[in-house]
Amino acid sequence: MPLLELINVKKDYMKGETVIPALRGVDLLIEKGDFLSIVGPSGSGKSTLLNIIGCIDTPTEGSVLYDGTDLSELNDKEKTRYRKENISFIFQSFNLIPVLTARENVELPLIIEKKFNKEEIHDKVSNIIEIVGLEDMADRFPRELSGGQEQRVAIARALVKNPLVVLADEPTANLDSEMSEDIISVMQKMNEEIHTTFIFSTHDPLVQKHAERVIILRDGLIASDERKNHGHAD
Amino acid sequence: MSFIQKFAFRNVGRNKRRSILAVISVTLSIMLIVFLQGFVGGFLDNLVHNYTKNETGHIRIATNQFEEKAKFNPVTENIKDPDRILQTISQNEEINKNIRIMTKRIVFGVLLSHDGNNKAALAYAGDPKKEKELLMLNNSILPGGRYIENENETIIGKQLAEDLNYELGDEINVLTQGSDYALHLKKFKIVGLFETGLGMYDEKLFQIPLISAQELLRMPGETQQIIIMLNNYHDSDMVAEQIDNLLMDNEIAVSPWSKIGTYYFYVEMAAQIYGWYYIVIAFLGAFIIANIMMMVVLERRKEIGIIKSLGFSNKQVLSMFVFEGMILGFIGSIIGSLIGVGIVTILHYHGLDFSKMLSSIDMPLSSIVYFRLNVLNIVTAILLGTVVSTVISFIPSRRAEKMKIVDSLKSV
Repeated sequence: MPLLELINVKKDYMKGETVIPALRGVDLLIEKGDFLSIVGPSGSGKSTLLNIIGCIDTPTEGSVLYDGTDLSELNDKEKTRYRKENISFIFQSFNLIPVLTARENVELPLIIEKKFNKEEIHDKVSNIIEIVGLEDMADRFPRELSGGQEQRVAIARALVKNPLVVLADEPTANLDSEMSEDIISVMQKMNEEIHTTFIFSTHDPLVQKHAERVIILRDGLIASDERKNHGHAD
Repeated sequence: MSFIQKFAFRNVGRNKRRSILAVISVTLSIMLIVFLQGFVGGFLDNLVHNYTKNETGHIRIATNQFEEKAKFNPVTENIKDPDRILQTISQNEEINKNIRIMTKRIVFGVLLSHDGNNKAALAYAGDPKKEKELLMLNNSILPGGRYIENENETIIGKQLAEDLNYELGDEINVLTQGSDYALHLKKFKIVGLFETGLGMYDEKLFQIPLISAQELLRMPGETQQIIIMLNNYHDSDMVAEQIDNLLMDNEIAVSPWSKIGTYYFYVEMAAQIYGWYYIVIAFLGAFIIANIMMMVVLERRKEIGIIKSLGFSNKQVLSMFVFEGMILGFIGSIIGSLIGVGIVTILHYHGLDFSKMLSSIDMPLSSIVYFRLNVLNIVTAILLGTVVSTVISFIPSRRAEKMKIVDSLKSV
């Protein structure tokens, strides 16, 4: 069974009286451990697709099945649990909490999850902060960090709880190529070792280069779906 | 401290100027509440104090027939053996420990005439020594006069004396119906004029010794009422019941002050009305918090989207904002209470002079109102400020709770 199955997913937005279609009927299977990149011009529906998979937006038509469960049938509480237990987001504009330090921002998903004690949280956070190279910045507030540093905190926050699926919107947009390589290799390692599924929406050729599967979206429809190591999926 | 509380505390400190504004609004309202509580409490204490010491005592013992006609102050429905009652009560240690003063008193109305002027007056007859602690008219004697020391002496209200053209040293003729229903006359020498500042006393009242009244009214050894003052007037119901059970006399009524006349009803009503005022004032103060919280929620739309996307439940988002409102309300309440207590403490010891305002009011009130300083009132004010701020924060917090993640994340 695929981890995620999108069946004829459509999404329309209203602008006044005008209906603007963002997704026009997307069918997609995502396996556990996929490391895929969704590419396409602005307005092609990449972010909408990530939002629907992450259950922070709902399709106008069609279904999204996660591990066989139709997400549209979940109530608010179940959707919250779905996000908390399975999904991590990396936003293009970092979206850090300004009143929390870098360390506290990274701790946040673990605290919400309520699975770990203080010591475990400390160890996990220290480990991921070291991986993203922010040991010296851990106690700084977002306003005291550069754009690249903020993005690394956002990445650390997304990866710290070892989620099943990471939805990343332009994760490397504010990183230099060296840091981008490092971060991508961390993600690849997680993908290989614990089969974390990564879904990127990106323009970055570096991410596309490392992605095992590249989906091109155009005008709300999948224009191509290429699996590098295993050929075409459909 | 939970993460939500820590988060809320940080957010309170985020925009200091705005938080200070919210705190000030609660501070002002709670300060006003503490001030009003002190004033109203002091006013009611003043009323109860004067009403009980001058009129009913904390407990009044009289005959059932007297109680039925009490507003006419009849001198025909008397306690025949008051000394036995006083002795019985004094010998009961459990009751006696609550009693501060216990004395006999006769009050009767007369029509005084002098120099062609007539005026209805009220005679207060009691043990002059004990009445020093009850009526306390000795404190209001005008220069040149003195308090009652002998039989057949009287002190008279300054305004009453002026209305009847009496002067210090004059004799007043008191003509009244005695307990034998016959008319009797007795002369009293005016040894002092008093001025309390209260119209209802200065214009109507004169005080005479109990023994002279008993002689005038032909009721030797008898009394109309026994007045009991307790150490704490809140015990009056309980002690009245104890005395009633002790005396076991069907002819005698033992009444706590709260069951006599209508003042208690007014006191209770005033306390309730002001209770509602306090809640309204607290809501006005907290209203600023609601407005500020509404701004905060709109400003932090994106953050709300982020924390929800991380797995924060709607309930947790609601709790976080409500807790912020609670923190602001609590800080404001504490500061408001401290300032209010400071003002009330000064006025508790020094009082506030209302003599001009109260002289025309026909109520047993002293001209200086000493504010009531009560820990329970302060705790109530803090709780009221905090609870109302918390409750009112629900309105903007519900908005945060209901926000859709995707819309929140799109906002700038």
